Amino acid sequence: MASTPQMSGVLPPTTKPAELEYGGDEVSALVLDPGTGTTRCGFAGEDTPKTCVPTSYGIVPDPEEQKYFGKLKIGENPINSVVEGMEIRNPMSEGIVENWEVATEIWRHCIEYRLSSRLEEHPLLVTEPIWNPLKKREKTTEIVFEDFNAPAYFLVKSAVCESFANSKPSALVVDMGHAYTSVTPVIDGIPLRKGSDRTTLAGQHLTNQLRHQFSEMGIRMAPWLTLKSKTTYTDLAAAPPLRTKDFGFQPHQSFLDLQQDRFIHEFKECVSETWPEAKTFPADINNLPDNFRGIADKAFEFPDGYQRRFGIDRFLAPESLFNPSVSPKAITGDLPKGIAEMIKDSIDHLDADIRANMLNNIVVVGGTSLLYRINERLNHELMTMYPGPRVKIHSPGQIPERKYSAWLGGSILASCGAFHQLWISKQEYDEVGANIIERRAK
Amino acid sequence: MSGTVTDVRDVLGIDPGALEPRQPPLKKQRTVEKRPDGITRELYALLGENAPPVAVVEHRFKDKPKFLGSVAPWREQTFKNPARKDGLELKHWVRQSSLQETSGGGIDGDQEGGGQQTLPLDYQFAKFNISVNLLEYSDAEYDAVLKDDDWSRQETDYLFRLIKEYDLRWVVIADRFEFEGKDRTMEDLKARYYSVCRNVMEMRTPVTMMSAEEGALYSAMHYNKEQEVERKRIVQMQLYRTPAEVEHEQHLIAELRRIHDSHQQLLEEREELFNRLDYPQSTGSIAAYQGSQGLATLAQNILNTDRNKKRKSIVAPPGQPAEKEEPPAKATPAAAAAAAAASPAVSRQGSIAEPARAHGHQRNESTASASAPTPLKDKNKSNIKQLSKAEEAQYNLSHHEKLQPGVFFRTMKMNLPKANSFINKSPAIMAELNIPQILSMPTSKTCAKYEVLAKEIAALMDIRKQLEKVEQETRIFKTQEAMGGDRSKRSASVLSDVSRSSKRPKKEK
Repeated sequence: MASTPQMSGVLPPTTKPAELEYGGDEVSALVLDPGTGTTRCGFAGEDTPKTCVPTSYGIVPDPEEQKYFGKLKIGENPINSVVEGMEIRNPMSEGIVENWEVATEIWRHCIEYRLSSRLEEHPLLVTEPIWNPLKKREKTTEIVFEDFNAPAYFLVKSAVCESFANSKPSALVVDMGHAYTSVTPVIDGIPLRKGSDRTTLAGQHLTNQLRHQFSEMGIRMAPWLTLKSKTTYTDLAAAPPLRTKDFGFQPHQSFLDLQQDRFIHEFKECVSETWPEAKTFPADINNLPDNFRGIADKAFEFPDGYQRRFGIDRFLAPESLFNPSVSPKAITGDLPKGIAEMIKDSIDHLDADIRANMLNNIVVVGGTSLLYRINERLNHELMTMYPGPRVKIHSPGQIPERKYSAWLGGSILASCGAFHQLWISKQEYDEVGANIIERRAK
Repeated sequence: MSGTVTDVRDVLGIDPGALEPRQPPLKKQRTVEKRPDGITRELYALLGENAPPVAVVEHRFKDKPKFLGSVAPWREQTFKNPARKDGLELKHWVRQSSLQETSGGGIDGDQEGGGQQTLPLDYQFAKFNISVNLLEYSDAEYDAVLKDDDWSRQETDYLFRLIKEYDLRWVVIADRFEFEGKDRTMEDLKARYYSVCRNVMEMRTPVTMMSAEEGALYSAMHYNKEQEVERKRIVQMQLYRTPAEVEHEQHLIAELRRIHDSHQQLLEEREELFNRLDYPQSTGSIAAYQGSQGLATLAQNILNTDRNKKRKSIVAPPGQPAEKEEPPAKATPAAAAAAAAASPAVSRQGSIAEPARAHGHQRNESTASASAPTPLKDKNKSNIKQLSKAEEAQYNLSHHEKLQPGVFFRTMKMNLPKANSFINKSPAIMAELNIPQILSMPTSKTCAKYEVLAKEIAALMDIRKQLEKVEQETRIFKTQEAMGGDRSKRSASVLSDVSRSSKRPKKEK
């Protein structure tokens, strides 16, 4: 529409890109990607979310403490400060919003406080998991229009966003998040219901497994925040006494767990590793066979100063993602399927004609997919399951792109010129009611 | 040199002392300034008498970048999307200049009232709002042709709604189809949709009246459900091959490629084989060859034609009983005909020999070797005493048209087969035959015999190779025939071909 079409290369700052070439049309929309671990929020058209706050929040019963941030403590700093009686909770359950009051506050915090944006000025795009039930979707719609008073709004499945973020209209999206690992086939931007599946074998599961593993080892898991100083030691039997801070009160257990999660998270990032092949993983890691191929140890120092080298045991928790039966902490109830089996089941649910295409377009995203060598393992398992067709795993190389894939896809979508006809407007909501979401955003 | 200079001076009357002062000034100039230490000679040479370069330094700021045109501000502007029915107004930033271009005067209105637009811009992305053109049916049409025991009206309507909503994306439609708990596969849905379309089309315009386009669409709508189900079953089977099957398949593909690659070569080789085996068909009676002498003559003829075919030389090999010596009566017409038919080259040369015959020389040989040496022989006949054949042999006399200059061993000039297989295997064969590799007495006769022998060995080796190849092929075809009965038909023709070719070398032997 504007000027002469630009040749390739960097545009001069005074020239507007030819719109039809990149298909973008910014309407200053906001993108909100609420997850169990973190809630991501930012402006559409950008490549990373402007803000990423923990979805967990603190709740303070003491009226004196409520003076500072109110009853709810939202954000990285408030929830990690030691406050008497502060209990850490999470408004999400099974990956979807359970506590609407708090979720609304968190979203508002993200947009109004962190982005300094006025809710009533910007169209809002919210992502949701594929298993989000109708009631919750309607509730979201209600909040966005009634509480936030947004001019326009749309609810889009995060799997669709993730496939778009990887520039694929059709893909088998494997999202390894905090609470859930989900598998969703997406065809031309439409997620399929049959063939979608999810499992709790995700980040939280890993954290719990590691916590159990550490306590089995007899490691004192005192978090950083509670310690005055540390003395390094390597022999658990001769551990020096803990030098803890005296807060004058006992922090809530949920707060201590959250603090524990922080160093366990670090352990996941630095030490945990996925075993590359299922069949060569030792059956019993305490009695390794003589011919077992040696692996390099990795050292880790716990907050209390305990240093330990981790060998085969650092593979155990990630292995449980693929083979839940080897979990350090036995899983109660039915054993869930491993991630690779879940992908296989999902593919077997699909029409025979698109299976080969799906296998060739497996998109793996989410923070847990950053686990060292997890894609190698996944690729190996899938190749073993499908020796014939071509199996290809696509995973963004950039860490933020992988962690915030759903947000990024939403950002692309909301800044896309052709998308603007899909927004649900306030007027439409007023005419139809919350049920409009079922008609417009399937 | 100096002498001449002084001579010239003398001639010109120049005083020799006058030149003296010229030299010093030059030397003086060179030694004027001494090069200071620390400066290289080259650098010092540059300084010399030259004026120092003047750097033009202007004290001013860098030029402003030259932008094309004036600065155009960006303006936040509301817009409506014609693809929407609710008239939602969203805001985006538009450059002022482009506003002027497209809406003409839109800026003024914008500047004044902010909200009021003089001209709603045609939203560029609205054109992407497209949907599939779907066939629709009326109640009457449904009642007339679309009734189906399996499908109710409601379900058909539901199906068509879904198809419209998902723009014929069958995978999605099959995924979302949920009607009263009925379990419909994608094939069921497709079959119903296409049958409805066909029926409606047929009812509206009979097949015979349809335009070409409609007819094409009508036939494209034909949907064979059973075939489709079977196809998907096969696709599925292909998807779930075991690693062993995949490996086997890859092996077969590689094998197939190899066969394809060597097929052309094989054909060429077979062609060559047939050519080799294409010996002249005898037309006359074979009675003449039944005696050993007749056979020897025939062999000689064939050998000669063969040699002529290979070697263009027209010299008769020394030591060979030259054909010209043969009495004409001995060469039977049949043999001559056979020799003539054996090679086109021979018959061509025969025609060259024709004028020579016209000269009155008595020769009926059809070989070329006869025609060329004529003048020499004539001369010999007239001047030199004619030696008989036995005498020539006795004195080891031979006739040459052209002698090679220089001295050489006769064995060096032997015309032996060049094929690698021959070179590699001949020592063993020769040893078997008790013939030394290096002839101890290389007379022209023995050399010629040796050549003949070598050639025969080579030919036999070649034939054996071909025979092995053909036998191998026959074996393959026989195995194939045994394996697949349905393939026997196809390979039958090939088999007969092969059997024909495999019989021939035996005959030759």
